[in-house]
Amino acid sequence: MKANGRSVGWPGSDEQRFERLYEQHFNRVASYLVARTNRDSAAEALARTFEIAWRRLPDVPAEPLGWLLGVARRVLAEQRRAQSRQDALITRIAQTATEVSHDHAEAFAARELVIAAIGDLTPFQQEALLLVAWDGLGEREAAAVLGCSRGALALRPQAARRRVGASGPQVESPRRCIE
Amino acid sequence: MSQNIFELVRNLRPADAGRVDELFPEGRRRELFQQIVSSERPIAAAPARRRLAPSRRTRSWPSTIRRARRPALIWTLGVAAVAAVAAALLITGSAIRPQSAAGAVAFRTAPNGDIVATVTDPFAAEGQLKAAFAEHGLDITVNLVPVSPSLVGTVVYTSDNGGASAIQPLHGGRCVTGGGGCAIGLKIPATFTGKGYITLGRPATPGETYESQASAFAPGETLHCSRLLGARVATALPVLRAHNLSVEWREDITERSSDGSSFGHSQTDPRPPANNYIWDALMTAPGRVMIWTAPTPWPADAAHGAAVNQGC
Repeated sequence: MKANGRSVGWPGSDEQRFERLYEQHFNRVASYLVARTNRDSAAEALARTFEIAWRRLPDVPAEPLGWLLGVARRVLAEQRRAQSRQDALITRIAQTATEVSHDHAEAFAARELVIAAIGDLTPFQQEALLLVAWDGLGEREAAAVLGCSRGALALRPQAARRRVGASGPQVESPRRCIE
Repeated sequence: MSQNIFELVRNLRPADAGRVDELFPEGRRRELFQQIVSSERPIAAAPARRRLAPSRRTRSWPSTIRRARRPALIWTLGVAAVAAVAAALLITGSAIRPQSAAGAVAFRTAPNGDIVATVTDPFAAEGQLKAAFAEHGLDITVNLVPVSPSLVGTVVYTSDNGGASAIQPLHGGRCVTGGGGCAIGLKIPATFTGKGYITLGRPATPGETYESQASAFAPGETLHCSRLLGARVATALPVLRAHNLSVEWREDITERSSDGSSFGHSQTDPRPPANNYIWDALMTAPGRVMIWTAPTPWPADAAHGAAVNQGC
């Protein structure tokens, strides 16, 4: 709802409100993207994410982090589809592991095991795990990013734990989420 | 493997992710900010646009900032029609009604030039809905999935290969969701030539689990107006029995890793302490609810509380 160019209920003009959102959350969104793709792709996705936030400013909720990361996630997914890079995340993780673990054979082997286990997860399972482990989100926030119900999300880390920790039962199918 | 899984995964995080201040110094950030706010205005604002003069455009950020505003196809669900159909379905138990494509979706042009498409029967056979869009040159696949009652008729999933999330959900429904917003329609650019995938919510048939659900306390859900959000487990038990609900109890826990970081998640808790407080609840299927509790009182969220208690 708008009045005289200002969003009713939000202090300041659209530009002021966007500036606050941009300054408060730029680092979190940038970290999210840089963790998942190379610098150039991350920069492109970062620009696109905040462009969408600007254009859809009236839709941005009062607590915007989950919404912003959800947009960033979709932008990244579209990049990967456009570039036919289905395994980009695992490649990125594997490259990082190679760079830091050459002189610690045991640690390197452990990393390889975890990387392989993550690679076996579905994209939703991977993202649910990383939103908690890499981005420090709680379950409710992570559910907001994925557009899932919290109930659907609650099952995912369990599934990942079973994969990584033991040769246990097969991981159940993920529930549908808003892309 | 005895290490905390989250700690194991955290150790794989690329180092660059912790160096964004170096990767994107202040000058670059301001440059991007200025590019963005000089471009197309927020959608609900007046249409006047300022454009960057060509000499000010830079190449340090990708030139992905849009300039043109295209007429959009807005697809909405007739809310009254949805409510009527949903009520009929709950009474009859029928999930699918065959109907001609022409009767499943109605298209019209709005005064501002946007094209509005209203699905008059969201529970027409999936093939009929796809055919309705196809008659207007749109390759949109519609899928129906079982959802908790308040999400019946809403959009629970969208995807497309048109680039940059061409298909956008339109919010405005009355359902209360954890992800924010209640999508009751879609905006599809009139120039969209890709493939779209839309999933709508339908009532569950016996034996099905919900593929998407709103808070169990939200309007239209089983525990709406029960006042159990924030109540103690002991208070909730007789209410849950009266609703004949099967409960999966969960507790929120925080695990700490060796580097001091913490990870919040939940796990099954077969016998929650009677003095624990209820923080959240979701119906997972007709007659089955998942409830989260914690030993500390629910931090009253005025906005969320008001949203789920509408009409109580």
